[in-house]
Amino acid sequence: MIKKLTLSTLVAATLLTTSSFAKDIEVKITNLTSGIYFTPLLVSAHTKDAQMYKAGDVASANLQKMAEGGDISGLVSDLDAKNANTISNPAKGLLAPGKSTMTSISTDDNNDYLSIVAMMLPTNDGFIALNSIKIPDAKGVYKFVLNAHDAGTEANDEIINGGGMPNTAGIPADPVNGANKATGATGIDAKKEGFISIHRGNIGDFDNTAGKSDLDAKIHRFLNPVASVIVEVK
Amino acid sequence: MRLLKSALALSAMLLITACNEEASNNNDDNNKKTINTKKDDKKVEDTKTYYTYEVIVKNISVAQPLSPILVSSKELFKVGSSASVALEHLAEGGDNTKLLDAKSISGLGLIKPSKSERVLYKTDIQKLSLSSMLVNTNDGFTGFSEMDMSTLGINETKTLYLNVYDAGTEQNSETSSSVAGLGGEGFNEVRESSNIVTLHSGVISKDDGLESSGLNQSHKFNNPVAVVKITRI
Repeated sequence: MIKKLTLSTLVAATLLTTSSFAKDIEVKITNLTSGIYFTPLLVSAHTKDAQMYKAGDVASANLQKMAEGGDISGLVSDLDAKNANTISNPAKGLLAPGKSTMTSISTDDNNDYLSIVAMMLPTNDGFIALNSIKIPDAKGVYKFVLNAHDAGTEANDEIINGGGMPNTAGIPADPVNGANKATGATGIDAKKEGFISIHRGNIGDFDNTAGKSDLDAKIHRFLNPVASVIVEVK
Repeated sequence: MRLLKSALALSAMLLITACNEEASNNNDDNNKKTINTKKDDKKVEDTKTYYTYEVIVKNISVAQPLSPILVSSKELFKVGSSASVALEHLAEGGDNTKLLDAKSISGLGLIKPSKSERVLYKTDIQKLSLSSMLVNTNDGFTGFSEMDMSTLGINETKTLYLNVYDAGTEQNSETSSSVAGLGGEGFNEVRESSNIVTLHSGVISKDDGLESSGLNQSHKFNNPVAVVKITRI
């Protein structure tokens, strides 16, 4: 009888180490850039197999929607189908340069990986990403820095023409200058990369009515990292 | 380019050597090596402990192929110090053969953007170093030097994101005749630049206003340029 008990305790202990349990986490996201806005953020705690992308691979259609037009609905459906705990749009719109937003997630059992994505505006198909990091088991505060990625689904032409739908060229908007956005650019690049990479940056120019780019080289350039994330495991 | 090609061929040969050594060491139990000495047939026990690492390098740049990687456990570079001549060969021409020795191995060939390469590396020192040129630069390279691996247990994986360094041995003129990946010159012993290794400030390219550049906007890059997964096996 004692032996049996020991055995079942052992089995229980093994289970404990291979599955993880619900947690309450608080997530603070800060835009570290000086001139790039983040469109609605997607923050999700999910299982390991619900990872949204791998750098170097071809982007899914729903990742493309997010990166080219800021539409996270497709990715949210993908994550819902995997029983993820997802928060959509915690900043209630654009997250401006230097600004932060905060949200909380109560994770279900086994949703122990955290991902955050949002389109970078203005870019053609740039996005920030925290890609499926393991949520630490121990209580505490953890900091991560995020890099800019390029979905590789659209050429970085840097032309602001309202084009935000998948397979439509151009940048949807310039949130800084709004209606006074630059026009008349002939375009920087005409060829999509075809795979997800680290974003090589906006180029821009100094001409608001002509030139190669509708982006402003003084405002819209950026370097990595582009965002910071502070996760508190409670 | 010719330099790059001959470096590739040589690297390929050396990897085969590296693989053979790997195979011959596979039947060691407890990570101990048994050597038959030539003179007498006495077996000499090698008391060193060996560690085997699987190293997977993935290129996540847009248009910067990585020259054949060099994996070692010795010091390859130090930020703030001048580059060795052997590192200069790698950073200017993608030629890793000058860094290769009995305790280093080479990858099989260029790692193109979005592609990966896996190598197995066996060492008696719990340190790892890696280096590879971004071929569409003058003397830009990526890697790490003498990374401590002593905390990595068997079957544990460590993921690294690699930054780009400037060897400081060649001016970043970006001309077609000076960039190895564009068919330009590889190694040149003249130290034209700051002569210290620093983080790279990036390439400008013709599209960004440097008229004399042989590079275009696609060759621009930002850190990190590669993901490395190291697993102790």
